[in-house]
Amino acid sequence: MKLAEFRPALDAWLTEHAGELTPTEPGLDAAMAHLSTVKRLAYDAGWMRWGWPERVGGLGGSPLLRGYLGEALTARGFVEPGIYSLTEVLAPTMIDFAAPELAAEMVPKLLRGDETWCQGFSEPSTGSNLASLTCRAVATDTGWRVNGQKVWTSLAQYAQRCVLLTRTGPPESANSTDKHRGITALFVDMDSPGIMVRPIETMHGAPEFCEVFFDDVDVPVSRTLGAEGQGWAVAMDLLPYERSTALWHRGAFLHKRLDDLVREAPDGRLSARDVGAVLEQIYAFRARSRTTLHRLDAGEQLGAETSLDKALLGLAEQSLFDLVEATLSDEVAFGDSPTDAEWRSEFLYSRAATIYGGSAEIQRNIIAKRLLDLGAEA
Amino acid sequence: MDTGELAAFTTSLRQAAQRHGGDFDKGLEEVGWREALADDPSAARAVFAVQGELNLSSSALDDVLLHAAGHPPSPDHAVLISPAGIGTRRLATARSVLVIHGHLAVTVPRNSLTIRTVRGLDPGGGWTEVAGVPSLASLGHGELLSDATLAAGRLAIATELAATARAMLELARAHAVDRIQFGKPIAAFQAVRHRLADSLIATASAEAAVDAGWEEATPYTATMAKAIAGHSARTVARHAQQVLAGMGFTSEHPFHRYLRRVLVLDRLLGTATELSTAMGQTAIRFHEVPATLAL
Repeated sequence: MKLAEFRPALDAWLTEHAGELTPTEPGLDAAMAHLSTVKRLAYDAGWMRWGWPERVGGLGGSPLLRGYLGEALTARGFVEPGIYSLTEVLAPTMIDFAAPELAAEMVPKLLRGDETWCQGFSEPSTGSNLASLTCRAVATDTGWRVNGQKVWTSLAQYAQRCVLLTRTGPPESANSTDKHRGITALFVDMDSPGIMVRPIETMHGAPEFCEVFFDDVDVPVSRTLGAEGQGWAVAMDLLPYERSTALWHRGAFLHKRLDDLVREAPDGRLSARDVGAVLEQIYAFRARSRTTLHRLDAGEQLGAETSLDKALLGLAEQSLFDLVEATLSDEVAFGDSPTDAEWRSEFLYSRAATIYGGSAEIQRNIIAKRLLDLGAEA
Repeated sequence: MDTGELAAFTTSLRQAAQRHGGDFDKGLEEVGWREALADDPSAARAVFAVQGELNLSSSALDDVLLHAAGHPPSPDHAVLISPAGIGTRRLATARSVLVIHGHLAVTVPRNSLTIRTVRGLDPGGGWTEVAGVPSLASLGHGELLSDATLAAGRLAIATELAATARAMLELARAHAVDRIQFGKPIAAFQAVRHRLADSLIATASAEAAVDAGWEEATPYTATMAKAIAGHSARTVARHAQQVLAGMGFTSEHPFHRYLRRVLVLDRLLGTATELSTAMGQTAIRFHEVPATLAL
């Protein structure tokens, strides 16, 4: 299947099924339930299987097909790209690092919308300094016993599984120069005894992040992703996915919301110069992201250069929602209609676009060191 | 041209530039640029990238605009871009001139115009001015230019701006790694590193927009490419100048020549801000953002 055939066929299907695919209720619970419905329909019709390898239930083909599917679903408002993106982020990791039979069993459940997965990376004491994580896994006769805490774990309260980074090296290795070495990735069932999930109330009003506590949680050895001590490689493998197809979907979202703004804003409120500047910023981000997807399609290994994409997302998302707040200031400040509440929530969420997934400053550190080859920092 | 042909053409352009110093028109003559353009418009991609990289000036923009407007490119035929009334050095020697004013153009004999060689901000650029550009009405029979003509010119300039941004970043990077202060290269300091990182972010977005313009050549992608490349080049110039500090402020250091060229290129066929404002105006008027950039 080529993108040129996929695109019109998918478009026709989406138009035909728009009734079932359009979300009807507000709120995160409803959005999660609707996401499962959309994935199930798209999986059963085949769309959700293109771009994934056959050994995990896919139909093969280029990752561009996945890129277009998420873009098309987002552009029509059928899914919210933030909650959709975990599929794009976590499925490739399972395909690359899980034992083949585990990947074959689990990945279809994620693609079909039967399950939600979460990503247990950040910890209370490790934000930007991810490699210093301390959530501990100790070897047992049957596998691992996990103790510790994660935070900012998106959608953990809905998740059946978690891709979890743990420290299996000695605890003091978290502060050593080779802190990256003592990390192991595990695939954990969220209904395991000893796991407690607590959603975090955030300023934008949707409790999509959680704290997750692990208290003597047993994980079978078959659930190790990659080898013991290879967890950092798993994390590094995952981040470029977070910054390729998932960012392309986010670009489709920003484009749609700017389009909504110019449709909805009362006459006379928008300045041509401001709209042009945001249009340009979003286009610049999407042009860059498009280049990255074409590299992925060509089989290139993505790496540190995707930090440029993440940095451009931060600029584009904040410039858009700065314009939203400046244009719809009364609506954002005082409005309580569902539309106003959505603009407000998205404006507030956009403040995090330079924080989550590696802060703007960390991205610039990576760009300076890895892409510009500036040597060590003072 | 495919990637391999483009790379080979680029190499021959660099070699020709080396042989002829700053006068890139001679180098272009030697590699058969106008024949290459007639054969495949993407030859311009290599020419303008090399111009930006090596800070060269030429009359290649005249050829691109003539070709796109359906006139055979020739050293005897120059282009005048109104309302600025500015052209390349070819304006001084050509026999006839295509005067472009928005979407209208008219060809006039060169000796009907009063020519002045511009020193101005970019004295090395060979810019030429026509004093008192005549109104199109007074020039008689005109022709209507398609959007594609302006797009071809904008994409060519965008290509040069993106390459200029990359070149300025490289100057600043090289300096930051070499220059020792407080016992270490200034590249070790985060304030410097982040300026250079921001420059690379801007450069990469300009390059991506230029690539998209060449892959899917439409008036919109070309206009976006010029707007993004223009703004990005200014961003890089600002950071690079600060990192180069005193060195970059001297006339011996090449930085100022790139800066001068950026500011002048931005003026041609719509500044970055004029172009993006016009796109914003269209979006507001039609209550719609153009659907572009398919995967």
